[in-house]
Amino acid sequence: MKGFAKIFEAIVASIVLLASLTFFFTPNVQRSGWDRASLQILVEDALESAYLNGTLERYVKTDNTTQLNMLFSAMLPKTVDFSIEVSGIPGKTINIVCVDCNQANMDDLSAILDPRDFSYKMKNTSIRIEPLVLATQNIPESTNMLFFFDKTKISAYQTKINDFLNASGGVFLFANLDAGDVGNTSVGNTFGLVWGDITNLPGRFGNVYDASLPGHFVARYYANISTRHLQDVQSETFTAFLPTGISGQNDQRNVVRTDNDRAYVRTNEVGQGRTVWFQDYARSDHDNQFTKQIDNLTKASIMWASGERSKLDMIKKTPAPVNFKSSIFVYDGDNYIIELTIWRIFF
Amino acid sequence: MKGIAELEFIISVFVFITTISFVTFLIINNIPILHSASVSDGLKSRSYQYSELLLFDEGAPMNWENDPQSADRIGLSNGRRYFADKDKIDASLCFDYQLAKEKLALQKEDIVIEVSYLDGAAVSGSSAAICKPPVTTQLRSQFQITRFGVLPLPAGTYVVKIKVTIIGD
Repeated sequence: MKGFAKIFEAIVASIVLLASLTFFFTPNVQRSGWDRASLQILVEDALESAYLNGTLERYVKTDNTTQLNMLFSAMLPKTVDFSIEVSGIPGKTINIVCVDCNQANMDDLSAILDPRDFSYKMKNTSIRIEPLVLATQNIPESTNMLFFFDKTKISAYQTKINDFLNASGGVFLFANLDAGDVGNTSVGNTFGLVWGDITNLPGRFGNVYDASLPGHFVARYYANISTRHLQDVQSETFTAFLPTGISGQNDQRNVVRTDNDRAYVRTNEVGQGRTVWFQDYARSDHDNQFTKQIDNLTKASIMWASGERSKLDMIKKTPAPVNFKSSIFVYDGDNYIIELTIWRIFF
Repeated sequence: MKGIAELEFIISVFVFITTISFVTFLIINNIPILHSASVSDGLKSRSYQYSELLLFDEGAPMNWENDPQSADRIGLSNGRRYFADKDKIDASLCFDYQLAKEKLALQKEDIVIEVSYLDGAAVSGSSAAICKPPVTTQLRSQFQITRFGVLPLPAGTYVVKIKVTIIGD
């Protein structure tokens, strides 16, 4: 029996040996990634050729989402879905929710933003305003911005404001502030405000040519809706503001400031969102040229604070977890970016 | 019992030969898989290279469409990135396939170049294929890459689809 046991042992050992060898000789073919690369090349070509062809900017300008989606559907494989987003210019509609506003506030805001349907660089833009009691009502999904006339509401709704900002929303405070409102307070932290000394010097834009500054974009919108050129608004002064004590902090977040570094309009970025504090101004007569000037500045600030992002999908789309993005920088009077997000339907 | 092998020795030789054979067969069986993957990647790479060449290069000389027979290299670009030239697309249509292969430095592989509008209509002639071998086969491995360019015409600037298929040897 001893001999058979040895033979059996040898056979078992050889089977184990052979089985272990398969580990070392299994072909290890790495995925080349060509399927993904081909798709990415196709998407980049599609964006580039649609831009050079002129159709991309035409459809964006006219907000023709149907034709735009049909164009990309014709160019991309049937097995992928896509979403189109434009950033760098205001969307077709800016939805503002006026928080805890009474009818007088609504009328005031409407008068400031009149006309609310206007053309920006031949692109039709519309501002819609609706009141909301934030304590009891939810913020509608389509809202771009929360507008406050009452500075005390900022601390009252701080949690909801922070949630909205983190979801890329905008918050606009239109109020005359005093020393106790700013610094380490809800208003001070949300809008990045600290106190200086009161001044009534006229305000003016900072460097309107530096595209890294929020002031550049506000000045650009202001120039267009005032039917002016950017170089013409550089030295323009705003005299109808109430006196301000908000420090300009000698930083790049001021849109309109005085020569002694006090701010009339300041921006901030919190989470994914944008905030604007706007000093109150004399506006008993909106036909007055100095009032109209700041009316336009309010509208321009709202255009910036709206996030300058809009989707151009025909229906609401949620990209698959595995997706990739391709974008193109478009020059069409304004510079903006069109981003195409692509994902495979069967992932 | 001199001259007669022991049983252990016979078994060990058997195990040794089996092991060597097993490893050899494993390696031999893996070769076609690796070769196939290599050929496939090679085709993909070449089809991408040719699509780049055709879309972005004007060819040599730049006006080769006037005398395709003496062209050094063919390309469909009009000189601007992503812009195709209608005359060059038309010239490719009546080009001798073997000569076209030579101009594209293709040896064993074949190439099919198709240019069409987005709705599938041919840009030149009645077929989208402006360059293809006289006989095509589905048996050989092949890879197709699709690119987009723009074609300026008197009536407007159109987006065109350029498909390049490389057929392996």
